[in-house]
Amino acid sequence: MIMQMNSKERIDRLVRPKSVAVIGASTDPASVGQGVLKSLLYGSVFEVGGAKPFPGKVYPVNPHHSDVLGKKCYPSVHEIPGEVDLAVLCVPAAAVIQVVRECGQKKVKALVITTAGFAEIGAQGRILQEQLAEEADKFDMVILGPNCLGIIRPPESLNASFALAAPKDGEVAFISQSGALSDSVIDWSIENRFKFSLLVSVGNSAQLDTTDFIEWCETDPHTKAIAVYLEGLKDGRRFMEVCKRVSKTKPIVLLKAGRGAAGTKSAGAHTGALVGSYRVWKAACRQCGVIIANDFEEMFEFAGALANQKRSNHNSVAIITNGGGAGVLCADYCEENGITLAELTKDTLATLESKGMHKAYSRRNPLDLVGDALPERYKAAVDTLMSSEYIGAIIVIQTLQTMTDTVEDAKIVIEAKKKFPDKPVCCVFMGGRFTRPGSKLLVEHGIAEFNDPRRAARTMAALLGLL
Amino acid sequence: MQRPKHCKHPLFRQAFLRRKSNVCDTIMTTALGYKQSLSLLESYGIETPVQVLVRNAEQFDYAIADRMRYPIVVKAIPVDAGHKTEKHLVVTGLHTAREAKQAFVTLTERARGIPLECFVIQEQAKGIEFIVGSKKDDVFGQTIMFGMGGVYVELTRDFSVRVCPLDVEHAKAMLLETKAAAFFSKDGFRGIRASLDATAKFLVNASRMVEENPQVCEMDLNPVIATPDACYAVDARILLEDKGQ
Repeated sequence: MIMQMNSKERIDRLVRPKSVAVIGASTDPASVGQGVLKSLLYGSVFEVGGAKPFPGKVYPVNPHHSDVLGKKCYPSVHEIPGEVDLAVLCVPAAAVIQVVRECGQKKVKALVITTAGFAEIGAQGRILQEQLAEEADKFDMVILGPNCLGIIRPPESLNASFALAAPKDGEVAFISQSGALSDSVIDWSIENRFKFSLLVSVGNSAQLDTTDFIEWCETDPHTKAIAVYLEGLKDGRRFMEVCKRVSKTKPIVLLKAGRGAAGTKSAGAHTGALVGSYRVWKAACRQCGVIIANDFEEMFEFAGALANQKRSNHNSVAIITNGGGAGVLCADYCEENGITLAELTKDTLATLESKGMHKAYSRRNPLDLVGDALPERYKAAVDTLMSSEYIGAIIVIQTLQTMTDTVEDAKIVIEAKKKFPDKPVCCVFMGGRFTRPGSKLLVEHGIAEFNDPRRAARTMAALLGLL
Repeated sequence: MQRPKHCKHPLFRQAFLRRKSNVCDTIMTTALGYKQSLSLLESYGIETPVQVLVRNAEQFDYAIADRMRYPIVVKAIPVDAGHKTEKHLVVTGLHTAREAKQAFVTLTERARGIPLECFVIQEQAKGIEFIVGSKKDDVFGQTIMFGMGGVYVELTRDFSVRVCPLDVEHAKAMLLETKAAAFFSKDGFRGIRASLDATAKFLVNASRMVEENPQVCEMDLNPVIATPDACYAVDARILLEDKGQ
C-alpha cells in the first residue's frame, strides 16, 4: 500500500505533520533525543535568530522521565492522548523494531529513524533494516532513515532533526546521503546567508531514497533548485527517468562521492577497463539534465544561481571589466567551460563610444573599461550589452581602484537584470572588505557574485546548460 | 546448463556456451562463441564483412575457391576467445588463394595445442578503425561506449559513454564528442571520411542489442571499421553473466 503511493503523498506525511512525538527524548543535553526535542520546541538547538518553534503539538516519549525540558513526557506512544502524525525515533537499534510496531498500532503516519547500526554495519544490520521496513509497511508508515540526521523544512517551521542549528527559509532543497555533512552545510549556510526550502538526510534509505525526494521537489512550490549529495543508488534507471522530468522545471545539481572506482580489468576486453563507474555517472547525468558539481562550494553556487536566475541556451557571453588581467583570465575560464564569447559588432562599439568610453578601452570582448571606470562607464557598458540581442548573458568584473564605486556599480547591474530577466548575469567584484557592500547588495538581489573569475565562469556555464 | 533469463535472441535458448573466465570477484562470465556472436550481431542489423567459417583444410580450400573478394583475412578462433592479434592468430592482407592457403598452414601451426572453434576467412574491410563496446553498470545497467580504435584506445582514453538505450541523435552526439569527429566531417580528416549516419545507426543497433539481452555483461566490437558509406563489426567479444552456475 505505502509503496503504491507516489513520492509526493509519502513525503508530504513527513513534511506536513500536525503533531510530532520524540521517542527517546532525554534529559541528557548531549543526547540525540534532546537535540531533536530542542529542534522542535525552539526551532534550532543553537540560537540562530529567526528559527521558529514547531507550530504543532510536540510529545516527548521516554519511560524513564516524567518531564523533559519542561514538557510532560509520556512513557510510550500509546499514552499520548491525541493523534501522532510523525514520530522521531532516537532509541537504540535493538529497540527500534518494537518502537516501530508501537507507532504502527498508534496509527502514526510517518517515522524519522535517526538510529544507526543498520545496513551500514554489514549483513546483520541489513537483516534488521529489512525487518524494520517490513514492519513499517505492515502499518502503512513512511520511513526516513535509519541512520540519518532527520528532516528540516524551514517554510513549515519543522525541524525534526538533531542538527546543531536550523537554516533559513529559502528556495534550494538539499538532499544529502550524509547526515554529518548536512550539519556542516547548515553552519556554512548561516555564515554565507544561504537558505533552504528543505534539508533532508536520507540515511540508509530503507524506504524513501534520494530519487523519491527529487521527485517530491518537482511539485514543491518553495523549491526552485535541488542540490544533491550522493554516494550511491540502487536503481539508476529510475533516478534518470525522474531527473529527466524534474530537471525540466527544477534544476538539479549533484555532487557525487566515490569517483575513484576504475573499470574492471577482465580477460583481454577493453570496454570493461575503460568504462569506470564515475564515467557512467557523468554520462547518465548528462542524459537526464543533472548538472555535476566538483565540490560543495560549486554545488551551492550552482544551485543558488539556478534558483535565482532563469536558465538560457543562448551561449553568447560578454565580459565587462575594469581590469585587463581579470578579463583575460575570465575569458580563459569561459573557453575551458564551453562558453562562447560574443564578438562585439561595430554598432555596439559605436553606441559605447557615443555614451563615453576611455580612449584606451579594449574595443572587443572582454570589454575592458580601463581601471578608472566610474559608474557611468559601467552603466554605458552594462546597458548597451544587455540590450544587444546577440548577447545572451554577461559577466561583470570589478577590480577595486581608488575611484571605484562598488555600490553604484552593483545597482547598475541589478537594474539591468530587472530589465532583462531572461539573460543570466554573474558578477566578480574582486576584493574583500571594501567591495563587500557592493557584493552583498548583488547577492541580496539574487545575482550570483564571486571573488574569482573561474567560479563565475563555471556558474555561467551551469546557467547556460553547458555542464 | 541453465538457460539465461529474459533472452530475446533465439541463440540463448540453445545456448552453447564457452569456457568460463573470472571478470571480477563476484561475477562468473562466459564468452559467446564466434558463430553465435555473428548470429546475434546479424539479428540486430549490425553488419559484418563477408566471411566464411570453416573447420578444416578441405572446407578451407572449398571456401577460397569460391567467390571471395581479395584481399582477405584469415583468423583462427580459439574456443577460449582472447585477443587474436595478441596471440598472432590473424593474418591480414592476403591477395591470392596461394597466400591464403599459406596463412592457413601457418595458423594451424601456431594454434597447435590451442582448442579452436573454427577458422574464419573474411574479406578485408578497409576504412577507419573504431571500437564499440558495452558494459553492464551496477547502478545504471547497460551502457555503450565508442572510441577511436586500435590497440591504443586504453592509452588515449578518447572515448564517449552513454546509458542505453540510444536514439540516432544521441548516437551522433556521442560520435562527435570524440576526436573521431574529424572523420565524420564533410571533408574528413586529410580526406579520409567515415559515414556519420552508418556509424550512428551501428551504435543504435548495438545499444538495442545489449539492452534487449541483459545477460550480456560486457562486449567489445573491435575493430569496427567505418567507410564513407558503411560500418562493419570485424571482430566481436561478447561476455555473458553466468550467475546460475
